[in-house]
Amino acid sequence: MPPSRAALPAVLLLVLPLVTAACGSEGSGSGTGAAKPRTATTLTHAVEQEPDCWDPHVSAQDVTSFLQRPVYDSLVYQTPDGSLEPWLATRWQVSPDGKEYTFTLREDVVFHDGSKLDAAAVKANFDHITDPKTNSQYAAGLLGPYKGIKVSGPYEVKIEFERPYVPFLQAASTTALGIAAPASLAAGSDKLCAAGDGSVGSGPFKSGPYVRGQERTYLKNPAYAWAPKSAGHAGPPRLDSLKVRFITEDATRIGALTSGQVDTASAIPANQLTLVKDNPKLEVLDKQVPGAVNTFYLNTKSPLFSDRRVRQAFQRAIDIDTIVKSVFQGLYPRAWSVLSPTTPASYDPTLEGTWPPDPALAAKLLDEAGWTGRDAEGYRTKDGKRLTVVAPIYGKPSTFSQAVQGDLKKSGIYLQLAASTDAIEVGSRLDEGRYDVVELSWARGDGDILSHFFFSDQTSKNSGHNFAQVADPEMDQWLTAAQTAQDPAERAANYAKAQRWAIDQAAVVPTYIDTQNVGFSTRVHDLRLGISAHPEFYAAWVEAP
Amino acid sequence: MGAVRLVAVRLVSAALVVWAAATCAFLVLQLIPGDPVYAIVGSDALVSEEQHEAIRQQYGLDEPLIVQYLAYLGRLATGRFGDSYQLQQPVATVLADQLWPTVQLALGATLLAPLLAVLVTVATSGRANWPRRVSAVVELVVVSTPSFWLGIMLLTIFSFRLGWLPVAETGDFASLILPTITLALPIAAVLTQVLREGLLGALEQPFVITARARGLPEPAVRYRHALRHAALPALTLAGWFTGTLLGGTVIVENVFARSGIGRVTLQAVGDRDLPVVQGVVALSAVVFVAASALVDVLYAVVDPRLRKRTGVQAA
Repeated sequence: MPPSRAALPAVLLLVLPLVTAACGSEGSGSGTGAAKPRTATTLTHAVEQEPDCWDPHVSAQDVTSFLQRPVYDSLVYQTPDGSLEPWLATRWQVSPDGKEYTFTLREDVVFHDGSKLDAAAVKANFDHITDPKTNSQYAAGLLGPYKGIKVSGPYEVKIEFERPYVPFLQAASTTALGIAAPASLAAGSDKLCAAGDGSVGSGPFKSGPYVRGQERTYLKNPAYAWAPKSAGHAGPPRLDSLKVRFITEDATRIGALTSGQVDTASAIPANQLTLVKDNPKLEVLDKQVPGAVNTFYLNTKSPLFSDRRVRQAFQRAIDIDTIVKSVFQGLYPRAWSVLSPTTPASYDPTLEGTWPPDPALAAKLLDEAGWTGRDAEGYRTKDGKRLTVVAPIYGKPSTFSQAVQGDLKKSGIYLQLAASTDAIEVGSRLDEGRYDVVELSWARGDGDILSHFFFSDQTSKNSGHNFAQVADPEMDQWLTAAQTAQDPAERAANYAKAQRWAIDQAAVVPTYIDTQNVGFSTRVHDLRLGISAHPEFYAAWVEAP
Repeated sequence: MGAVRLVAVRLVSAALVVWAAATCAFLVLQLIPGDPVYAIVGSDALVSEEQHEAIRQQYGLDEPLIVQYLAYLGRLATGRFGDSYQLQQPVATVLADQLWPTVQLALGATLLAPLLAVLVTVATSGRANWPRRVSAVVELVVVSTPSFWLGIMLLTIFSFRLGWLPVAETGDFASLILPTITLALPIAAVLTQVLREGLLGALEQPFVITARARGLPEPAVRYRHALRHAALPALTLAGWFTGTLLGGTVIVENVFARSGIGRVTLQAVGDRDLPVVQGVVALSAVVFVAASALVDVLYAVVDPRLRKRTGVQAA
């Protein structure tokens, strides 16, 4: 199951923004052994979704970031282990107060339209992202407390923030902040957004023909000579062209892969995984998506959940291991922290196993909290009122949510999956705090995602995602310390405190870790999953049949 | 004079149908609760209040409903449908771009379905009973099979297992075969049922005995005489099916990963891209009207009694 589908339950999950660069590696497809790279080849990839809008500065869709990565380079490159290295910027410097970033650019970079990368080009990109007319759904948000950009030399820009903002470097590595040729930005949204062939960047592949609803072709950029050091290859890509086909129907996509009509395919569903793995001509790579895992955020301000005992009862009543195993058939592992283990330098592994399911404890806590009665259906009651946990859901409740609902019933808790297709109704529920729990996941290759969920000013009304309604001075202090600390270890220590606090306070119930996979023919070599868990095609090549 | 009047009446009623469909689409979409601005910018967008207002103005959402409605009708009359919320393109462009693949598919199915129906009907309406029985069972199975599943099955057998045909590829005839069959088969099955019913009835008519008595060979009796009688109800049905083909392409285009109107429709519904949905509704209304006009003409071709100046009328 693709994360985008699994994530549907919450209003914000119509799209799964992924603030990670689709670069880096997670193991190589198969050994480069005896076969010699054949450069005159095309690789065909089947993807499960087609972007609505192709402009990564506008779109919040994960798939847009993934499919534009071959076209757009970024200032910074994030390796699979999360460290950041030069890409379009050869180096950068942070001012002592942490509010200003100075980037020195490469001088040899040429966009696909022949224009050169310089400081003015970078400024044009940041201006485009922050222009209200762009209607940026995501990239502008990534800039956080952005103040402005200044050209300080032909190949040097200074980016200023209102306050120290360490997560910016990681943000700068994403496709959402990818650098496009300035002329293409001026071409208007119908070129940039609607027509994928209007994208002009400096990446290893150029936009080729595009047929909406069918396929997009990418052509090799023979001039490419500025790959980041850890990209696994240097110079122009090995493939002459790359073709991405939009095959939304699972059965068709997997059939196309097993019958060799495509070389690689994204999002192999759990029920087809064994079939693909058992096929001697196919292999599967998978990777856990970094960022915030699928989590229940408990509204610590709601009448029901303002009682910590009730929150804890909810947290310990769910048999997460069993449900995750049965719903995802081993595809996704269960989670112990809000953060995914692949989130660079911020995951706290000491949380693992610390809060196993304990229905007896849950029962004891509920008794203490006064939920001692039972109604005809076996749910607990207090003063004649049923123990009802309201969970607003945008669209249809997922199988997983329904399984949790069934499991909670055993402990006498009624999880009310309040499904609605009215975005505004769900949105106002969230804004006004009329809910007990919200379930969602949010991918990002940086621990700063915690700030979006736990910083006191990140309320739903303020376009934040503090669904647990946490307003804790200590939490704010840890998150601010992490945002301003230059030392990764210090950041990680602060993020660890935040993760532990969220579990201890039962503000969250992390459930499972979204995992993305790609199935590919054994003829495909050097295919890698980037940090965002999407395949990267730059170094890939296909053996002749 | 009569002909001019006939055409005029026809045109007016066609316009009425399109207007009614467009109005229904407009009203129904108004009933969907929620602010369309969120459909335009997405629910995560960081939109300030001014920006919100600017977007409302840009799409004319700040006008009273009646003004919006009239503006909508005005655009409709001139063949424009406004801009798509998601694709950032005029709806007319979006639809025009996607029209040809769908037309190919629909046209293929429109030709294939009656052809199959006629062949099967004639082949199974002989004296022997068993071909009819076998055919009836097959028809029932095909009609009651969801076309989604039918498409997957055809793909699995002919594309994934046998490797004869590809999953859709642009401009490639081979890739058109399976989707066309998937779209045509259920229609052909229903048409066959109706056509056979009519044919068997017609074969019992006295004129068939006359024809046979004149020594006409059996195929000529069936094709030239009986089939014409049987064709009228089937033709009515075929006209209706053609109008609904657009709906069928939604499923078929998605299963076969083809581009086209159906694909865009599904995405637009999912994204609440209202202008696109309205455009598709108007388009299908036009197609429907055109199809039924064509069927009316075909009536006259098939049945001489419906022609104005034929000798038959006098008889």
